[in-house]
Formats: sequence, structure tokens, C-alpha cells
Amino acid sequence: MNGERFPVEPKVAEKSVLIKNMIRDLNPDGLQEDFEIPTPNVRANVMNKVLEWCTHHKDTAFSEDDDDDARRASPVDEWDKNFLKVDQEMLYEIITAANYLNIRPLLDSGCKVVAEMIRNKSPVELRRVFNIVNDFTPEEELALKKENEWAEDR
Amino acid sequence: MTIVESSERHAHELTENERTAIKLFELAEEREVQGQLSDSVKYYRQATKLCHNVETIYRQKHLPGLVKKLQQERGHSRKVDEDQVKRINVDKLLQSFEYAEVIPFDPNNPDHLEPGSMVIKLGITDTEVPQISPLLDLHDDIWVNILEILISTDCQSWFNFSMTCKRNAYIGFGNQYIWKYLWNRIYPSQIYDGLTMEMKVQMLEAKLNLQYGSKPKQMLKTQPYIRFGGIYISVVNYLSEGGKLYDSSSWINPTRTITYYRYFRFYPDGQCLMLLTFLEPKQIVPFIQRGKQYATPTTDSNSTGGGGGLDEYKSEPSRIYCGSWTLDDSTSKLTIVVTNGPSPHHVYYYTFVIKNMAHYYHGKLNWEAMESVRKPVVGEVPSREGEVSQLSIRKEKPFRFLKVKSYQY
Repeated sequence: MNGERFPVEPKVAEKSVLIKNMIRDLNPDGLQEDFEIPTPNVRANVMNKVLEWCTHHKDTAFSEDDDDDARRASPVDEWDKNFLKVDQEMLYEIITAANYLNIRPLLDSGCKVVAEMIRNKSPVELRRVFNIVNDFTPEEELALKKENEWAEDR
Repeated sequence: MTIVESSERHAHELTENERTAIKLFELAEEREVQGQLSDSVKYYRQATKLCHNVETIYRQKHLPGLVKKLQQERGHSRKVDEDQVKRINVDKLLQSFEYAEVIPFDPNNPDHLEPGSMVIKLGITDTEVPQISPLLDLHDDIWVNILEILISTDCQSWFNFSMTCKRNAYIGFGNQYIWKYLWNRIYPSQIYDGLTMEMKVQMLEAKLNLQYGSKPKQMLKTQPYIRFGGIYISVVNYLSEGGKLYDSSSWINPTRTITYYRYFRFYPDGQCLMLLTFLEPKQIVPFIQRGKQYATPTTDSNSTGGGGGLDEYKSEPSRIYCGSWTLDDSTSKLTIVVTNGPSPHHVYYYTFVIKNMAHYYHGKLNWEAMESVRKPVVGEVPSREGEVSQLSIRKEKPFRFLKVKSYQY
């Protein structure tokens, strides 16, 4: 935490359900004056990015639909796709912040971007994407494959 | 960097004749697998005529290249002790991965190289400590969400991700939420006779809890279901013996090979498409779609052009018949009813039992019965309505499921 302040209008801040609930709980009669919310888990540069997203979408009416399947199947918003063209470190930070601040549409977009990084790649290619090593023994790898491959086709 | 080594190099070593012979040899193999034995023999003969030792060349020069290429693509060319594989309890194995640390790829460590790959160092050697992607540090719940997105759009990606390392296998394969999500995508889409959606979900949940101890993966492995992301194919192949001419001096009767295919494609709304044809899968499978009368690239070109006998002959093999399917929730028998089938005066009933193909669960349909029931026919005296005929299934073969990428479900 570096103590930086980000003055925003309530409409922008309330894209975060965490902040919205906090404002409502602490100001039951509505906001009368400036109100400061500490977000100790979010770094300043990440908060900047998250607020950029909130400002862009301040008038977007996101569906309140709880139908997870419909939300998952819908493609990533074009603006979000460009907005999330960042390095893996920043993408990690944005997704984590969206999760903590409870900004579901941003979290969804972030998860979909990661899903896109995984789609249509073999395990070998995916290890390169995530810079990891195959730590299975050959026997473990084959046993896992045999045990689960039937499930990949529906 | 990946080295593509063998197939091309060996290809250069071959003469023109040898290359053509290998192509014919492969074609012959393909036909043999499809059961088209006459064609297969024809191509084997042509190949051998061009190059008498085509099989040896194929095995010694061509095949190793192909195998290596496949190994590079699939990434598992390591030696496997099959007996040890059989002894592994996968559930326990996944549990043991719970606290597995992800190992970052270190280009300086030769043990970290995937089989068939190499690293080229340019300029000054990088001394940075290798690091894994920070995305792998996302909370497990977020990873479950990402994997569910993959399952709902492209199941194979979920599988591939889970096969990357121990930690990812634990999240992808060891998590009950993931299996329940898959369960939710599969069972409520099945059609059980006489059950509304609400009754169906109640019945399935009860089964999951009482019969399968609330373990969705166990139920998915045991309780049969129909798959929608592909096609079920039955290849029927047999020899038919003909008669000799009355003045023939031959000692044997002529025989011919009969090959035909049956196809079923299922939909989660209870509809299914049926084809009976001599056309092989790659000619027809991409075109088996709803709303089409014929499984051809241009729907009507064959059926309406010319109107002559030849056109009718061309169109009939690709004729799609539409039916409905249901599963019996207790016996899991599959029944398919085709009302407007090949004969206008009959309703056809096909019954199957869903079986496993080794580790590939519920991928096979074994024949139980094929019946036709007479429809009411105007002017038929006496009426034969309701007359049941058992049709022979003696020569029929089981259906096997084949995933089709374009059948997105």
C-alpha cells in the first residue's frame, strides 16, 4: 500500500459491489460528503487500471442475470479485450483485484481472456505459455490421460 | 524451438517411384480400415508393382518419421512401464498433487526440455532466475471459473490444461466442482421418456446422491449418456456369395464385399438424424446437419438437378432421416423412433444398449433390436396397421462415437 488517493464519482466506484455495499452500510441515508475507502489489497498502478475500466463502463448496464452458462458462453467485449492486452503479471493483478473488489463483469472478462490463452493448445504448448515443466512421471501422465480423456468429448 | 527432423529428410532420400508407392500403400491401408477390401487389395497391388519392397521402405524409412512427428505434436515419447500404469490409483494420485509446487522451466536444465525440442542461445546468456507465469498464482476458485468457461466452450482445452503439470491436474481433474459442472452439462440434456425437466433433474440428483455417493465423476463413468459433440458410426462389412452361371465351369461361387455405414447424430432436444449409406465418414460427416434433406455440401444440388435416374441415385445415399431418441432411466436403453423413414408405410424402432469402449466410457451403441411397425394405409383391406416386423440385426455392427469438431455443442 502506498497511500495514493483516487478521487472518483460514486457511479464509477459502485461498479465494485464491495465498495457499493460498503458505502450503503456506512451511509444508510446516502452519501452527503466525500467518503474515503481503503483498498489495502490493490496496488496503485492496478487500481488505476481498474478505475479506467470502471470509468469506461460507468453507464454500461451489465446483465444481472445469474445464468452462469449464458455469461460464460458470451464473447469478451471488444473494448475489454483491448483493455486486457497487458502482460501476464498485470492480467493477474487485474483479475485478482476484480475478484477482491467484486466487479463481476471485469472478472468474467479477465477469466475469458485467460481461457482464450489456453484454447486450442496442446499440453506442450501450454507449458510454454505458463513457462512450466512437465513434472509427471511417464506412468502418471498416461494413467491420468487414460482415466480422464473420455470426458473431453461430450 | 522445435526441430522437425525425420519425415522430410527421409522423404528426400526416397525415389519418385518409392514415394508414389508409399502413397498408394497408405491409401490401401486407409481402405482396409474402412472395410473396402477390394479397393484396398487394388492399391496394395499397384504399390507393390511400383516398388516390390514398399512395405519394408514404409516401415523403415517413412514410419519412424511419422512417429517422431506425432510424438513432437503430442509430447509423450517417454518410455512407459504399462504394469506400473495399471497399478496407479488415479484418485489417490490426484490427492497427492494437492500441495505440488509448480516447477518453472529453466532453459539451462536439459531435463526440462520436452522430447524433440531444443533451445538456441543467442548472444549473452540470460542469467535471470526462471519464473512461472503469475497467472498460475490466481486463486483456485478463479481457476475453477476459467476451466468452467473452457468446459462450456471447448472441453478439450480443459483436458489439455489439466495434463500440463501436477498442480494443474489437481485443479482440473481433482476438483468435484469441475466434475459437477460437467455433470450439469451432460445429464440434464439427456432425454428420459415421460420426464419433465424438473422431474428429470430431481431423479438425476437423487441418483447422484444415493447411488453414487455424491461423486459426479463416478456417476459420469457409470451412468450411460448420449454425446452430442460428434457422430455415432457403424461400419458393416461382410462377404456376399453369389450364384454361378448354369454353364459355368468354375469350382467356386463368386463373392463380393458389401460395405455400408450407418450414422446417428443426436441433439439435446430429443431429435436425431439417421443415415444409411455406402458413403464413408469423411465424405459425409461434415454435412450431417439439421434442416437438410441430404448430407451434401450444397443441400439441393443433387436432389433437384435433372430429375433423371442417376441424380436420384446420387441423392439417396446422402438422404437424412429425422427421428427422436429417448433413454430409459433405469435400464439406460436407448430407443430411436423414425416415423418418416425409408418406407412411407412403416415406423422404425431401433433399440441399443450403451457400452464402454475400454476406458472410453459410453462410446459404443450395441444393437438390441430393429423393428418396423405398419402405419395405417388408406385403402388397405384388411388393415395391417400395428403389424410388427422384427428386422434382422445379424449382420449389423455396433456404433462407435467419433468426435466432430464442427458439431459444436
